[in-house]
Amino acid sequence: MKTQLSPHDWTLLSSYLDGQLPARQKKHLDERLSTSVDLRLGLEELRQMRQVLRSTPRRKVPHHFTLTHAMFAENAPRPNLWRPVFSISSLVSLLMLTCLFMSKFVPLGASAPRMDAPQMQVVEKVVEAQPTAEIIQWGVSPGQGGGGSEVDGKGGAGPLSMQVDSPQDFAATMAPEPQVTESLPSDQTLTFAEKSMDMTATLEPIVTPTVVVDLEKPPARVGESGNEPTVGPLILGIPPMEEQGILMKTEQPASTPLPLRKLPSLTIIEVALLLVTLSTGLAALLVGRKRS
Amino acid sequence: MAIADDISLVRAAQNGDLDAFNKLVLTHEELAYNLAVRILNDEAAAEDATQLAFISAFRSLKGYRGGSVRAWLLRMVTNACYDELRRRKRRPTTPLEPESRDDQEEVESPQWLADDAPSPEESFDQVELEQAIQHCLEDLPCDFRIVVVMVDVEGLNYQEVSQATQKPLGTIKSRLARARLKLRNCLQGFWELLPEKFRHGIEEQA
Repeated sequence: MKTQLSPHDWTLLSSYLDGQLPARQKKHLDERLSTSVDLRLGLEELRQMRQVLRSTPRRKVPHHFTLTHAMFAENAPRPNLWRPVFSISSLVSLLMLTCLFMSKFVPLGASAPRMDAPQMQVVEKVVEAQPTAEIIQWGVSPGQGGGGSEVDGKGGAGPLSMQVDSPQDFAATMAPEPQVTESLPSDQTLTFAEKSMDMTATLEPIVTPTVVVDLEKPPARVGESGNEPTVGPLILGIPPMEEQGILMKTEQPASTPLPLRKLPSLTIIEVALLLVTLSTGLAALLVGRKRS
Repeated sequence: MAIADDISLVRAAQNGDLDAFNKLVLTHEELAYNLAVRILNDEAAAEDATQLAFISAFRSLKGYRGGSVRAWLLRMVTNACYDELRRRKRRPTTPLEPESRDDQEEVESPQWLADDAPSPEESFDQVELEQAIQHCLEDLPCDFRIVVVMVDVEGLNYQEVSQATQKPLGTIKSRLARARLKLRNCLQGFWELLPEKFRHGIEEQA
């Protein structure tokens, strides 16, 4: 009765006996069974052994195993309170963690409507270049200028001596120079010195400032050319030197968002929330599995 | 009973219907008890294991996720049997033999060992064969024993065994083949106990 079959052959025969062999393997085994006596003998032994096992008498139950109402009450499945507690805790901590994480990208207070004060508005105001009177300083020596020249505390009226032949000449001399309002070609640039060449009025040897008025350019500001004193006298009604001819740009600081409040130990909070989320979620999972 | 009936009974039991659960118990208790007897080879222990298995099934009703109810119940039985086998391994016991009151000697043939069969002569071979089978089953490793009892004794299919033992189908096939081979080798020692029709058949093939 000894057969020379490998363990793999016995496995194939066992599955073949129960009809659990795939079709391809079954076909292959059928071919082997038709040629191998050992295989046929082994298959027959297994089949008969199975019949013997199934022919053993069945035991009758000594009593019914039904549950009584007392057993029902004693073994009734109790609701597990830990699972919802863990689940809700995990959910809440996850929401908090999400909110905390998102707050990094949304600045605080962004949701509130921003009420900018009027002075906080960005106003780019172009002050039109008003035709301001050209201020020409004729000299910085004490007492040589007009009435406003208050240098060294000598007042505006310095010693001035001039000779005029006639009142007309004086009037012509003292008459204000007409302001050049149109652009002239460069070669026609006039100097006040040339204009005053005909004057017979003899002034003190003064270094006549050659003020070249380039009409194509905005009039130079006093104190800008470098020859003038840097600090000029202030004339009432005339904006200070620093502001003459400047396109005024009232630039207010932009309404920048409020700086983020630096939350202390933000990372620690996040890590703690993450740990709570993971631990409670895992606990809920384990409790649920244990119950099932 | 159809599988659909089993499932509907389980659903009713999940809603607290004790009668529905008891119907399930009555349907499957014989199978559960016989499986426990084959695994434990002890009727009293099998009785306890079966009862514990049904109590455990009742407690775990919420955990039923569908599939064969019979396999689900047998899983409870095998788990109870595993617990009993582990307990035996931790604390091995020796069966008590009754003693006579006079000389304190053990009674060799106690009353509870008497065969209640109506015709001892007719059933003698069958009893001997059954004892031989049980002896060979007990020699098998527990995992192999459970599989071969479920398939060859109780007639379950591979899928149910796989569900009851929570093992893959390939593992079931392998264990069953090895268990059958061991069982075959063991039963050859009890050749004379086999029914005559089996003996003749095998002798002719030999």
